[in-house]
Amino acid sequence: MKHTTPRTTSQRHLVEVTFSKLGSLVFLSHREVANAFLRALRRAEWPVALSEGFTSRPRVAFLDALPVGVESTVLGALVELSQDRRPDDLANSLTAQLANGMLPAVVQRRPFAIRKQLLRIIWETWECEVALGDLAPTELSAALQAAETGGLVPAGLIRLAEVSPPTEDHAPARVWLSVFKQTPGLRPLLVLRRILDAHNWSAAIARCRQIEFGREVD
Amino acid sequence: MRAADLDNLLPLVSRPARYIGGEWNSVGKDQSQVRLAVALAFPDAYEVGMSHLGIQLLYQILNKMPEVQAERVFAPWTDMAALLTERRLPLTSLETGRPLSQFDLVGFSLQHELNYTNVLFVLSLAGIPLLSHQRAEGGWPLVCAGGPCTCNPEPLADFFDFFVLGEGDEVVKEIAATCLAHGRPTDSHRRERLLESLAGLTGIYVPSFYRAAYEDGRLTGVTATNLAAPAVVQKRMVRDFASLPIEDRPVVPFLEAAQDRVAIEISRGCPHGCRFCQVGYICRPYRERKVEAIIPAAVKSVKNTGLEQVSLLALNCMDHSQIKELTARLREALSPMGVSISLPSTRVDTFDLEAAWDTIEVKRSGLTVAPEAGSERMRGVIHKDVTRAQLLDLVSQAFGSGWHVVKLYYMIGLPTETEADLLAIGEEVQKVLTAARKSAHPRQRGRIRVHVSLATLVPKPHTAFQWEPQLDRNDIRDRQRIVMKGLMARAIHPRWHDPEQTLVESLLARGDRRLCHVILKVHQMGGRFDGWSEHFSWQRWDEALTACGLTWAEYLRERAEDELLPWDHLSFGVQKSFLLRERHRARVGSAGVS
Repeated sequence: MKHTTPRTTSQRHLVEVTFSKLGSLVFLSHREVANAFLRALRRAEWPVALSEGFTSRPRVAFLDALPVGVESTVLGALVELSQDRRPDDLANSLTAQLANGMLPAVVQRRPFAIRKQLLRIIWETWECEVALGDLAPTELSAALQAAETGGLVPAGLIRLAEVSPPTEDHAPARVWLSVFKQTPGLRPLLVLRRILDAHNWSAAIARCRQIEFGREVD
Repeated sequence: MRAADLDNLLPLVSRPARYIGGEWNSVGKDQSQVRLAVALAFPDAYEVGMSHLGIQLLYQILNKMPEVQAERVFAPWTDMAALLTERRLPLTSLETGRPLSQFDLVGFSLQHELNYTNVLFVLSLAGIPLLSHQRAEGGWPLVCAGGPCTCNPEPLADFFDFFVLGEGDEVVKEIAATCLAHGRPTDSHRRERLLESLAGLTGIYVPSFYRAAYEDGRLTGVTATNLAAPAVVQKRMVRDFASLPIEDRPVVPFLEAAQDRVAIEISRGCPHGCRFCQVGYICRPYRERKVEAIIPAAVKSVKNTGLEQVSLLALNCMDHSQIKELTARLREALSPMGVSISLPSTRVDTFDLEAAWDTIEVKRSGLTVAPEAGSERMRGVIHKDVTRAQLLDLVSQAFGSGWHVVKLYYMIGLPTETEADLLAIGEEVQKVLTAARKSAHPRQRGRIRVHVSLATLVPKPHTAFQWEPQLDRNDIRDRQRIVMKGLMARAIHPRWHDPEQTLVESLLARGDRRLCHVILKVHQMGGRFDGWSEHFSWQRWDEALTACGLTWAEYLRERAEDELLPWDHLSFGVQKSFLLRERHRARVGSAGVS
């Protein structure tokens, strides 16, 4: 079966795949995750459309390049197919081929016309585990709420900031921080680190996970 | 290492993905069913080891045995090693995190002499005693090695319990079966019984069963001291290579490995008789697989791995009797999947443009050829019977057909080499460039690149040049300078080997058991990753050799033809008298015998 790229937009079939990057896979770079995903697509025998250049490439675009060390439950990719397939069938075949830590795969059909908008993430939420030490959860919560008004981060940047106190002794607190991505490199982790540093708090950020994002078309 | 320990270390090291395991096709087994745990250790970084076909093959073969679990261990990079030492954590396998010392068998793959110090580096990080006699008591794992360096394993004789000479595909199962039958030896007596059983297998060399004698600093004899040990150990060879199953489920690394592709071995051995080529001599005779076996295996491997390139492996792919049919049918099967095909270095005289063209329809890659010498006379000496006209013709055809990069491999330090032979390399490369420019499409001319790799001959054991002297440092540099003068052009990109690394390679390739002390000394002085120029230290080797009362001159000298060589008790199927005849033929530049 030849997976050549269809000539017209109406023949193109676009699906959005959401998968996770968890556990030890946090140590993979974006390029390594992308390679692992592309190989899983080939194993799953998806009819991925190929580019028509000298070096044929699968027509797959990744939504966001996540830094090394950060988990995600919402990593996304837009995959162009040469044939239409049922999303459930695609999801089942792909899930069976993803490495541990990349499960599960959710597949949705998307209109090709909004491909560019689908790639544009405008805000994202991260869940971070913070070992507070002597710091009280309420203090951190207050600092997060006051960060914009105090000029620590640009106004209008923070979309959501919540702190859940530790449930047991020495357990980390959970911080949900959602920021508008004014620049690609501006991430919740950076904002959180800036706030902690500004107060000279030695609280350590133990683990971060991207859990949600928003686009204009969502 | 416990998972928690590893998690704490990983954020602190470079390229942490080297240590996480869990790659696609890696094997985890129910540990209650496992009776023999084998660690396949590669004494180099993960990216290098994962590119090696041998370790992938052995991993799959062993893991098909229900009671055997094969796991992988690679040399940790220096930052990780420092942390392991500092926190007193042992080196562990990727699959189960089992400390290396808890395996029944630790098998190293010896691909290059400059990896020898890394063998000790890995063992010491694992807390395993380095010398084999120190492991006799206490239930330590058996430590063995295979790979091309076992042509002369004498410099490592004190560290290993046994070596596998030749091809491991079949003997590895026999080794596992023997170990399973004996169980893990807990004392020196049982360990010796197990080694005696292993010594009975063709291709197994147990160095502790042999004693080397020296007189006036020269080797005078290597004699078997155990009745189970044969006087001459024969290499192991797969006779029916065509029927050997093609393993189609290689582990797919997360990290970009040096060779990130499906590798399908289409043939073994080489029908030509290049006199410098160790692998050409030791892998005799030439054997090949049928197209009918290769195509489905390649397709299945791609489906099992998802890799985007298939590489056909052979010493010279173009020697395959069905190469045109093979590349055409492979292209037909793989191009719809967007999978490209690559061919490794090929001989000029056998290069078939039609077959090669089939491989690049999907993805264009560079053309790699190995003329080895610049002058026709020198090529006669080494029995590389190709002519400059053939080379230029090939380049013209290839560049006229769309190629724009060629990589040429040359060697210096060949026997009877003169300045004229060295100048001929530069002259030939310039002619190649001219031919490429003439035949390339005008739009491609700006993209033309001629890469030149300049190696220095290391006269390796079991070759016709095994008696030849090794060039010294200054001589290598002088000859490199002469060649480099002829390689001045923007489109020519020369690379050459470090003379000091070449000398250490030569020392270890042709050394004897006395070098065990030198390797140990270098290890104690911090030697590791010697194949990596940033970690290599000439001074360390020089000091260690001197401290052990040995000299470079003794090891790099020309060997007398009637002299006992350290590897004479190991047979790779080619008689010494034949090699000697070939040496004499080389002196007069006459054709050799394939």
